[in-house]
Amino acid sequence: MTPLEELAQRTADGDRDAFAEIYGTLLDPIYRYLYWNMWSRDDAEDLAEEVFLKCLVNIGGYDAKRGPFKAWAFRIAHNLLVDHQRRRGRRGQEELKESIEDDKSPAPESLEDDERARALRECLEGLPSKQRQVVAMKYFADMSNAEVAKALGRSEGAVNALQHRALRHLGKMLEEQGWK
Amino acid sequence: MASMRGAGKEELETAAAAFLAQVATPAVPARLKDYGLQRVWARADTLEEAKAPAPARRVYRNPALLRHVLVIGLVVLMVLLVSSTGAYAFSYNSQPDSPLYGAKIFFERARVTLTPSSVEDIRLEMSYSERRMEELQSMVASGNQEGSDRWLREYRRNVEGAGVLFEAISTQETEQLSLQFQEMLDQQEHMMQGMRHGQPSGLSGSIDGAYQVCDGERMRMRRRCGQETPGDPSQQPGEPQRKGNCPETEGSSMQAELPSSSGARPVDDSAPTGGAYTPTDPSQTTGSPANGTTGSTVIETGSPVNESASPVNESGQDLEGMGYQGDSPHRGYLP
Repeated sequence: MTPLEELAQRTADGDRDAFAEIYGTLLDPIYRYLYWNMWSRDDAEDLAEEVFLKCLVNIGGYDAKRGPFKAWAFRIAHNLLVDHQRRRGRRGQEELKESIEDDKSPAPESLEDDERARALRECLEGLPSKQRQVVAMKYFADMSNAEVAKALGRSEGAVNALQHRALRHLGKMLEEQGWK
Repeated sequence: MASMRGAGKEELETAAAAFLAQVATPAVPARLKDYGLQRVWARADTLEEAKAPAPARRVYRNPALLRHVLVIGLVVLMVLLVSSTGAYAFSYNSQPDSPLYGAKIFFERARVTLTPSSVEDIRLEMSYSERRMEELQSMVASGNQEGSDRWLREYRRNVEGAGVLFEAISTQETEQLSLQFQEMLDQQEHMMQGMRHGQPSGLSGSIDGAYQVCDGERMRMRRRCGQETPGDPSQQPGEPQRKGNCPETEGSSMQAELPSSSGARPVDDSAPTGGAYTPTDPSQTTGSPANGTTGSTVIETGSPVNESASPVNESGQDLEGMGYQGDSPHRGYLP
């Protein structure tokens, strides 16, 4: 049993410190995953809090035999993200665009970093949501293909295929924007 | 990046990873890092507390559940309404041998129970007794004696029920109604006399029973209205028949319903049937109203026969000696 699974067990037994450790370990990858799917720091922050709340409330139902805890937590994050995007879709895309434009990215170290981030965001926007989620989990949340597969409820082969297509699309779009 | 196109999967991955690694990812906000966990714990505690609400209140708090309960309630109500309406409609013309007859009686009793006015109750009981007569006619026409016991029970309930209500209400209120009731009883008696012939034993027994009920109730009505019967001990010899405070029935001399016109009478004293009412051959009867007193309330108001306190027929024969039982409902046609 890896530390995260142990910590989950201890949390389920009422150990608050164990959950604090989980929070410290998973906050960063979950936040980044959400951010690169929502492009809004406020929304990502709110949703990250929701993810940890759901984790804590449902941690008694986690079964280590069915997969790693990280994949379980990302599954929750993925579901919440899909719900959020569905609600957003109902409210219309205008609001989404505004939130993207209003959002202030972290102070770039250089102009090139800023432009790189902006270009990646635009390219990710052009990807189908499944491919975008695979890329976000794999490259921003530092997850293995097996964990991504568990989190998205797909087979590892399907995740590999999604990742392959996503990278191809991404490469093509970046090339069209002049990134080499 | 151009080299990425057409390259293998590993190369693509490596190139993308290299590009992505160079992208500045926003750091987790300090607010989330420092206070996020506390907020999560606080919200989890709140959820825990709200987890066990009272089940009864949950219905009111949950609009969806409340809607379901309301929908189910409405459906049940509709089903009850449709089924009761259907039962009423289908049972309306049912006969005593029908399984729906119980429903018909139930609706009748329910209507009587729900009617607040006693006068209206009397009217209902009267109309239901007319219905019973229609049922009897159907049974007689088809020769079907099944359910005749039940029919008799219901007929008794209608007629006696009306009588009890008459007792409870002041005479002035029901003056006209009592007149109608007596006329109705006269007609029903007359009908039963006509229907008695050639029926199966079960049905004729029920008709006999109904005849007794009808006759007994008529006698009670007469007493109530002050129209004394021949066996009334308070009636002095030679005293004219008292009219009482009820209006006199037009043709209430009972002669109308007597079998005298046809020569038949309810009871043939000489009948070897042990006293059961057997319509007799006209030739065997005298056709005298006085003789009829043994079988029915053969009281012609003001008739000389009634002027005697003792039930004596025209020929001076003491009727008591012939089995006359005065006011008893078991008169003439009973042992």
